Amino acid sequence: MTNASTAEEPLLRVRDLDVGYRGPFGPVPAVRGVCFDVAPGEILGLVGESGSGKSSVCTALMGLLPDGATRTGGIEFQGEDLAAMRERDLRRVRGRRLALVPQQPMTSLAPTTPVLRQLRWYLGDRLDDVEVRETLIGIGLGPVLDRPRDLPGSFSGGQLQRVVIAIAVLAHEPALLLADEPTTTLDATVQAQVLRLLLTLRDKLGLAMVYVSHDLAVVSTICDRVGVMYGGRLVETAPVRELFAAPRHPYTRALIAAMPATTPADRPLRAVEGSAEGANLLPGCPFAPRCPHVADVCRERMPAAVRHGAADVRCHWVDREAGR
Amino acid sequence: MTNYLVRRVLGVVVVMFAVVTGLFLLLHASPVSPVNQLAPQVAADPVARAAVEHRMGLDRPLVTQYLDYVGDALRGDFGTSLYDGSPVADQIGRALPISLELGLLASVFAVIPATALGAWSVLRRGGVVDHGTRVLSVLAMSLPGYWLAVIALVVVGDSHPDLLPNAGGFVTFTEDPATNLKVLVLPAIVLALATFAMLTRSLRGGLADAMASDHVLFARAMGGSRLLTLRRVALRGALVPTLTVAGVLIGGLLSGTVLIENVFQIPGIGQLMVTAFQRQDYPLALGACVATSAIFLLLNLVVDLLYPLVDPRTAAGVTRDKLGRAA
Repeated sequence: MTNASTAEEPLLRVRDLDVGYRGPFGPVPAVRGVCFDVAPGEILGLVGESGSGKSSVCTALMGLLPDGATRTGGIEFQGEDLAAMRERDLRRVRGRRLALVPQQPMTSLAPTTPVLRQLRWYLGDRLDDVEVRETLIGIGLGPVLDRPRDLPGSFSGGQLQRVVIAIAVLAHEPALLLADEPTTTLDATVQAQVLRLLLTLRDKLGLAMVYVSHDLAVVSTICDRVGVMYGGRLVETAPVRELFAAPRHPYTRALIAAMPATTPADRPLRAVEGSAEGANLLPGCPFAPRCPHVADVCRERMPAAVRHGAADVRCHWVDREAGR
Repeated sequence: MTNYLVRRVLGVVVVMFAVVTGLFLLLHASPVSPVNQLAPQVAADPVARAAVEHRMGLDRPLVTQYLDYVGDALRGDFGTSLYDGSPVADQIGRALPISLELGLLASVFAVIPATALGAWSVLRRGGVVDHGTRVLSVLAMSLPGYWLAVIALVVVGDSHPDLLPNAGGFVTFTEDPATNLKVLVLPAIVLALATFAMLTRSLRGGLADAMASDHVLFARAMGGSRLLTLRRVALRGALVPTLTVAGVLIGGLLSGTVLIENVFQIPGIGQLMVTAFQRQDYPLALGACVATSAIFLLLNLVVDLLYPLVDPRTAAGVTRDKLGRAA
């Protein structure tokens, strides 16, 4: 799918995206100089630890950052620059062509309105459509249809997340879905159901996805391409197979080496040394303080993205090694 | 839901009973006595005093007096005024509608602008309206009502004397609705200001929190405008704390306000109560206090019954609470 679509015009083209939040001592950068493309029908994974800026990328793309947050950079979506669009025009893009599935299913629906009525807000009379009802029952939302007066509080997290996905995807069949850790708060079985649902919808409707997660195992199963974020920067983007077979950036390497699946059963799990605390404030490479290959230049300047094989990597060390 | 209702009503009855008992005992414990109001030559004569006390039933044991009072009160008889001998119930019946009308008018002047400004300042957060609302509400909250009342009296009374209740007497709504409303507008605005300010701030706070929630983010990510999202998703949850505040504040407005009624010479229940205390006319004072508490409690009952309508989770919580207790 990836190879077939790379030749086409990308669906989403993000360039030099910066996001800053208001902090007590001035603005705090959350996303810095992030560039990536998403092809039609492609699933791009965004991985990184909490605080690496993954979720901020999603809310920034939707234009729904909290009050006081700043955003610069280009967001070209289906040939239009969302970053320059007025709020009124953005409203016509949100939900219709670009949809978001938030992280917390339990709190993403209005807690004071019955779930079925909320489904009707978005799906309208199509909710009475036999085909739509069958789809909803098919993804396990029969109980929601059967209990029209029940509030979100009386459904499980997995059911609510499927409702949220159903709303996001079925209301207007968007071209791109931003899924912000949609399965993080769910248990493993339910997680598998939700993932299957997302893949089914992708195959049926051909929607592209940005799938944000800190779970490498999930990302490796569903994504076509993966971007690795650290300290607000996108340090490496590669097709999923390449990323796992030949990780290049030292952070990607450390991350994959720390995965339980790559560690032999008789050896203890290895954690990446150090902490990501404050990485988003560093002037050079955010991973420099924890990097085994760090050089002076790493602390001063963030390198540009360079293509190595099929991967785009931002690392002085990788560039040096490749040049040798 | 019926259980909830029954429990609330029972609560009101119990509190009302406690209020009557408390007030009755307090008044009897105080050195205030209607006998003090007698002409000095009668008050000085112990025999005459005793005769008066006997006629008023004040020489009977306290328990008998209390049971008598409660029994009569339950039949709607609050005794007669010691000052002019007219039934207390009649006097309250005349004063209470005036206070209720003033309070209702003030509530309208408080609730409508508070809702509009509270919602508007959240929609335009950090904008001119938001800052303006903040300044206005702090001002309205910190200006003392009695001072404002006097200023209004002087300033408006000078240019538009017809907006004030004239010295000849207060015109009730049934006599002349237009004149009645005209003279109540100014006191109602003065009375409403502090309530308006607190409601605005409460609603703005609640809505601002709700607008930062996940469900609002999702609703907006689905293309909802700020206004639609506020109305459809954020409002219900944000309304609950404001409803509590509003119940207490509007209860205060409706149950008569001594200062405003006094400054504007409105013969409401607040005015009646003050006069009664000044004349040591304690059947009337007691009756007025009971009426005031009753209004206040009834309004809180209404608020309690509104909760499940605004936020259905309240009703669900109540049933779960019941089940838990039964088990």
